[in-house]
Amino acid sequence: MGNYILRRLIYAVVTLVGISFISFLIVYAVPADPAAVIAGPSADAIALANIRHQWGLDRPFIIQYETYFLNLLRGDWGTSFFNQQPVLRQLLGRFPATAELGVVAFLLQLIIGIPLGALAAIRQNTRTDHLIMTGVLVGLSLPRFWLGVILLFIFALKLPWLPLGGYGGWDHVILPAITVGVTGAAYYTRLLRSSMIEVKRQDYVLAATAKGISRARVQIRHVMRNSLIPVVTWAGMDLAAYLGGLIIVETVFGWPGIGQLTFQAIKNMDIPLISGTVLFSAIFVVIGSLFVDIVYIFLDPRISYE
Amino acid sequence: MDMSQQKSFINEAIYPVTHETVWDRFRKNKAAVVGLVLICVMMMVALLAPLLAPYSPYLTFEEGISLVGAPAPPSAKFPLGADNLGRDVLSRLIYASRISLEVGLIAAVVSVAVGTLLGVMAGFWGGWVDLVIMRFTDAMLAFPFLLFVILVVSVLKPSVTIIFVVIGLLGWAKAARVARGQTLSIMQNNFIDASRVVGASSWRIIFHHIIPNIMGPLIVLTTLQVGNYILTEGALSYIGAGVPQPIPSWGSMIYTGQQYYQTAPWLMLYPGLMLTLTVIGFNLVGDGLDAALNPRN
Repeated sequence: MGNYILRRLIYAVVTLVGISFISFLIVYAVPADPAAVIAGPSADAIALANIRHQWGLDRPFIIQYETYFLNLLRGDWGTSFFNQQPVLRQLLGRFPATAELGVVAFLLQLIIGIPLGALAAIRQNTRTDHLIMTGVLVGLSLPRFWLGVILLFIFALKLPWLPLGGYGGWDHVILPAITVGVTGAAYYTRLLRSSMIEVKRQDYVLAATAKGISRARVQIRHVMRNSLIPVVTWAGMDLAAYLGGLIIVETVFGWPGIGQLTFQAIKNMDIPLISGTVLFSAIFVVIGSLFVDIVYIFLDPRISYE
Repeated sequence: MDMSQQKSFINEAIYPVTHETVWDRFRKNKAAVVGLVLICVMMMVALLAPLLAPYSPYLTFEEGISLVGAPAPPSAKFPLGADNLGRDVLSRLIYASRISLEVGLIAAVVSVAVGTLLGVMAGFWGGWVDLVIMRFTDAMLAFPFLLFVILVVSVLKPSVTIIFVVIGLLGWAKAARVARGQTLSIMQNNFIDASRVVGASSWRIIFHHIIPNIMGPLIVLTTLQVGNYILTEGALSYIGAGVPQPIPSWGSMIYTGQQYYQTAPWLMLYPGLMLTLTVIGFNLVGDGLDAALNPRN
């Protein structure tokens, strides 16, 4: 077991290094000339050359990457071209808002998705099942930004129950969380349902029932526990993706999180900030998948024998 | 019984054959057929746009906007109303279907093609080829797809071609995973080894034996990816990183539409409806194909 964890850990570190390299490539290979962005449109060649030298843009590729990487480790993720603020500080400053939305949406997905998935599996091929799966179909096909706009229209404009976006208390987070939650829950419902159907067919479930174990215990201990494995995998990556920032939803609702920051950075071609947000997102995903791999050990004992 | 009756009797006993094809199973699935109809309708709309749309999507009308700049409501002249620049909404909706379908279909095919090639290579050769390709795939999956797409499209000036090329080239990771898994299980079969023995080259085995036999799940994936990429294009257009104005796209129509929620709420309703219906169609067909290819009798 320790071997397995160690391998996963090393692999995660290697992936992070690889990601930092790709992230650096973004900074390096973007055709927009950063010197021109900093200097403005009326700079002459000498000024541009000076700026290049000042920012170290004229040194060899590998040296630039090395500097970049070491700086990352030291916490210096560069400075935004646009507002001259340190990138990491901006990211961390916006993180609580993103985390709030991400966690609430995530929990909502679980609360909606998992019971519906289980219900659909238990009542497989009945009208309940068909109804739920129709809901899943719509949930998967709805454009998130459209759902957000429609919800705002209904609940913030037609009926002035909720505020028109922005950050605040629970009434501000509810609509964006529902937008994400409803569309996201569809995946969980579908996943759990097919997982449970698969598990119910297994021999060990039949064996447990034949042994005389009560139906409830079989459902919970044998069916559910095993069915939840793929769901846990997905959930880990899902939450990690949300913590990296939801660009579209944050933009629709004016939610001051990392996603909104990312979008503004791209609009402004603010390269250090873009690279920083990409890296930030990816780090969460790697940590998320590492976390999932470790939790896997406790869910599926067969894994530790690999 | 005579000889031929005996032979066919034995044949049927030893090789019980079901004459039900994938298409038969698909046809019996009502939801799948509905999806197929939806897709066909959308494709017809896109292909026959010049014939179906009452006006050009770029034509602005004076009667389209009121004196205070409010878009005209649905009327005889504008069946679904006009937009903020006096253009006919119905015509724009119809032409916008071209963008969504073009992007969705081409990007899906490209991404699955690239992914399949990489995935099969990884599964077939194994060893460090597998390692390198799979680590690269995992790294690609770690990056938020939408962010990457927005970024690359913004750097290169956005156009329809750029958009589907970028989406296609960035979205191969899922297909690679599926293709690799399928390759590994196909290679368990003896006929792969048999081809080797007969002297087939690696590439021949890949293209002649492996790829044709793993097409099923890949076709399902392609269909589902079309739906996903249509939504991706919609999101891109909504935030302004998609096809440039004045080319009509459902996503950008929603964005301009939402600003007129008071005076013209229909502007943001119809494009979203079109997007949802189209994606529902592809999802239904994808699920239907999946069920038809893997019958659980």
